[in-house]
Amino acid sequence: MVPPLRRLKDNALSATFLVLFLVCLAGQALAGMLDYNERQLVDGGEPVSFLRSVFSSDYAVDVAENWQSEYLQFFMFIMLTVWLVQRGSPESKEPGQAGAESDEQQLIGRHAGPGSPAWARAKGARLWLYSNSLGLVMGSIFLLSWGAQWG
Amino acid sequence: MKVMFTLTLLVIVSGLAFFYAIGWSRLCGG
Repeated sequence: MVPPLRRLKDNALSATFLVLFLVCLAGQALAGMLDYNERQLVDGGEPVSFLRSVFSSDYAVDVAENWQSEYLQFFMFIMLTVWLVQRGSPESKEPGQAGAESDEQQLIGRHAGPGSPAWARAKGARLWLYSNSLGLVMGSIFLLSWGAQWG
Repeated sequence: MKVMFTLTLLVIVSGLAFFYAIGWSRLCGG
């Protein structure tokens, strides 16, 4: 059994980003409500409660817009860093290593290790899905968060 | 690791569900 403090230290980065995420969501909700109510008063309308503003389409659209831009950023980063390099950047492959890499380097097909996911050993459509899973997921969430704003 | 992965997935799915729930309720005249 891992001691609680050790567990927290091991996951400190994720925990910090989770807290920052929640703080920003709360801050955006508060700022959104204050801004909406100010505009309501100017237009002669009724101000709304905090709970009402959190369940409004204004708030949902604002947050979805942020997610859309983040997932677009990650989708582009994931796809472009396969082929494009930036010498000196820790986020980039080394010059000369650009490209999709061989099956042996990627540990798929018959090169998959004993701890690899089952689909790493698959063939055809399943292997394609597994090989492109990160890009597909990021791209899908980008499209979903974009589509959510249309409603 | 699996816990963090599941938690992240939960946050993303909940968020998207929230957006679509708000949008759907607007479309239904909410």
